[in-house]
Amino acid sequence: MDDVIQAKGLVKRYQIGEVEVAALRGVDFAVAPGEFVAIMGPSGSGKSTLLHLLGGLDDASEGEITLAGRRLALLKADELTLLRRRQVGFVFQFFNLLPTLTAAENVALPLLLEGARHTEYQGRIGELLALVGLADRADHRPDQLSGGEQQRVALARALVTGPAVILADEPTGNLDRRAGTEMLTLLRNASDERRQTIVIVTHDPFAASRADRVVFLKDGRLVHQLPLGGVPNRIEVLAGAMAELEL
Amino acid sequence: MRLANRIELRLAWREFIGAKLLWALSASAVALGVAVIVASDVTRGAVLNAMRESPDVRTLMGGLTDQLGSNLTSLGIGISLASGFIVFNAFGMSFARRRRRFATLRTVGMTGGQVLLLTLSEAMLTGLFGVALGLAGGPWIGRLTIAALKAVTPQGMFLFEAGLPSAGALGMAGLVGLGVALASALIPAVAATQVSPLAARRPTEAAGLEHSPAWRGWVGLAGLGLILVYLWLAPPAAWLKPPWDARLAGLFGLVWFGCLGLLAPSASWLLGRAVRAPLGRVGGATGLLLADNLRRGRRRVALTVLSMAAGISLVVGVMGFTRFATESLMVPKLREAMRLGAWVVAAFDPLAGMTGYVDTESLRLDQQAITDVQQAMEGRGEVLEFGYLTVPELSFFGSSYFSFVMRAEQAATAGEWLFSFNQGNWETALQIMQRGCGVLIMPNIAARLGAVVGDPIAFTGPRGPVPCTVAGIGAAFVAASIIVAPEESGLGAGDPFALLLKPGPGQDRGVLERDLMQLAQRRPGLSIVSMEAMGRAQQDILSQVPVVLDAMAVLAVIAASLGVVNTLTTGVVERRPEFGLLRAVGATRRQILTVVTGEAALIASLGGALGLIGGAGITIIIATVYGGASWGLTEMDHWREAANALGPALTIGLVGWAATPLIGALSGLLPAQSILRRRRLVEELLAERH
Repeated sequence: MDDVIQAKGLVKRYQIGEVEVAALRGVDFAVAPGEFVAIMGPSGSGKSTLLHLLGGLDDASEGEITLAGRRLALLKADELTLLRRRQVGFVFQFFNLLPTLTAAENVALPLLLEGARHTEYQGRIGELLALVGLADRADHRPDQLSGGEQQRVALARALVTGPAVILADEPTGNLDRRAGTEMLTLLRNASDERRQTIVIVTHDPFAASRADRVVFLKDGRLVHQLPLGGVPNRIEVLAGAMAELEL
Repeated sequence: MRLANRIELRLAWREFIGAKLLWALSASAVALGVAVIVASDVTRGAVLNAMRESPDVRTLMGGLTDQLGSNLTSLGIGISLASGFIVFNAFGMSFARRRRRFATLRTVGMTGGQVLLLTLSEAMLTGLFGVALGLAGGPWIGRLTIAALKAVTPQGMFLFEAGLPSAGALGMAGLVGLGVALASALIPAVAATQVSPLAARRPTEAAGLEHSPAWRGWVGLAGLGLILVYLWLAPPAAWLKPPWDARLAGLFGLVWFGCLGLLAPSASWLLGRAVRAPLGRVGGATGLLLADNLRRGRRRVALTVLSMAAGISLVVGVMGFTRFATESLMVPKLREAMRLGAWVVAAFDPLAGMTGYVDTESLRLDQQAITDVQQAMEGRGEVLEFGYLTVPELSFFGSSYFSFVMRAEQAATAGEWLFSFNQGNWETALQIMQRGCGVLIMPNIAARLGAVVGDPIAFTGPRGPVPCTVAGIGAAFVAASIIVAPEESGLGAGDPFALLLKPGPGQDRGVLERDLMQLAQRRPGLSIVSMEAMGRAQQDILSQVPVVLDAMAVLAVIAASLGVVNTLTTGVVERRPEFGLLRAVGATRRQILTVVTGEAALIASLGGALGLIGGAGITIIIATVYGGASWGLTEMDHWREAANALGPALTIGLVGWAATPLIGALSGLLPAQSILRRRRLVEELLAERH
């Protein structure tokens, strides 16, 4: 089966004042449908930049990305927007929800942007909120929810259009261990049960241990890939790899 | 320490040049007010310069141009005050956004006083920039006003020459601009000094939904209702005497706007809630978000609504006020005079406007002309002689409006159209006038002089102080005081400026007119026009005055739209992560544009609606509190006159209100583009982290 994400020769340069900084220096990367991939690396290694490029949030300076069969560089702005709306779900570490909307409205946001009618999506929102354990919090606003609950609402929103890919940037970075574990379980289930592709960026070996494969970045380059399928002591193996790579 | 080395001033300068758009918008609002004040002086100067060749006319026109000038200056001050809302809002939002920065400065040892100096220095820079812009733009607005006056008044009615602003006007405009900028920034600046150093450790967050205290809205609404009911049941104008009519009208106006100020936050909140569901149905997420934005940043939204309300209030209020002043206060006596069937004789053509007498060395009729006219009228009617004099103490408008100089018996026989008594009567007035100088004055002049009928007064005549007596108080034709003085006083000396020819009972007016016109043809330079034609010409001018003033008041709406741009720009910056998130989950550029411009349109519409209420309030208060007491018009049906003035005022207000969504949406384009121009969504998404 074709990879749902393909990235070839990705380079990303930023101009900071008069200095040009290379965040990615030629990354080749692919993810199969239904695969759960974690991207790890030290601060400044380019992992968040890679995730942003994969999701079409930013343009690559060089190289090409194919997402769900579409080459991002060839898409017009609105086509890219629609691709994000329909094929990609995002979860971020900070600022995931719109403060004025209720939990249910936040979950429904991509559908509302699509112009869907309330009756068309009401059942789906209920199901998703139940899935993330927040069926009784539908009418609460973000400031009435805990950090973990907000992050679960964000995940429900990422799932609402049934996207091919879910991209999560440090999804557990702002959560306590219990809430983080719940979040990872939900992501794992999305991969296992709905065959959705998950790519997360994380510093945390515990979070990365739930993935099928871990990709290591260092100084803007992909330096190692570690398949975790069938590995019994994942955290120890990950820690060993990180030590070896001096991450 | 040298001033330029002070860190507060350096930080203020960097902030000022760093947030160019924000300060430029605030400065532009200040500039508009300053520019209109300068423009008023330029316009007045242009009219007076056209009179340079004729000192008599220059003196006479001084009073009228003072009126035009002071109306425009009042507008300029009104616009400056409206811009104060904008400056207050801009500084409030800017300082709130920089809370963490102030906290960091406090952490490293900046005192509250230094924070105050820093923030007020920013206000000073904004004010200076605005003043410079206003002083430069004022003469141009003056020229536009002159062009507008030329366009809407009959040809030749006004003459203009290039006018330059006076040093006094420039100084006053500068002081008003700087004062407004500093005063408006004071409260936010003091709030900035109260920021705790601990705030440096807390992240700033865009406001969520905020509940507006309902009691304020109820108090505001109840206040407006109570004022209306009171004015309906017992209009104070029925019993108020000058100067309390003007003072109480001002007080009522302040209370009215205070109530609107209390109502604005609740109205925004209620509107946001009311339109959420319908807009959500129509526009999906876009509709929900733009409705929600009315219920966030309560102060920000309320002040922007009030800025727009102030702009529309000025448009409605200026129209209402001027319509009331002209139709209800000026025109009644004019109409009475028009019904006389009389003619006016002058050494110039009164219908030609200023072109009729601009080059005339003297306005006085020569004795031969007077004799000819008297012979033509012999046995067929009365000939009333009018002189004009500018007496500051007896001036109704400002200090240089003219007074009539007449003979006692002529004034007494002229009739009610010339003067109708509130205090005294012709019998007592003639007794006073037979003893010496006597004046018939309007009630507000009597209040200013602290005099009643029979009181001695002194005023400035051409040869020095003139002792006189108040012979009557009441309503006078064209609001001019009437001076009756003996020859030896020097006031009645010389030939009259104009004659009024009043046909006697049973006279064939057609025959009389034919004879008079033949006389006019025989004597070039002698102009004889019917009072009716002259009155119509004056009514035409009076009906155009509100239009010209309203054209200037539109500048207040422009200033208010700058406020909308300012507010939204700050709001958009605050909500950058939200917009980034929206884009990430699939909102198109058009949808983001709709959220921002829709929010602006709603805010502007609400401001327009409150402005209609504000302007209608001004009109009602002027009619029912100020009324006609100062003008001696005691028989006025105040609510009928209010309704007459409200008609055109609300008509233009409704046009303005209909335009406010468009004005708002256009104002929202700039801030919306500022977010959409940013190509990298990542910047928006990560904005909260930095």
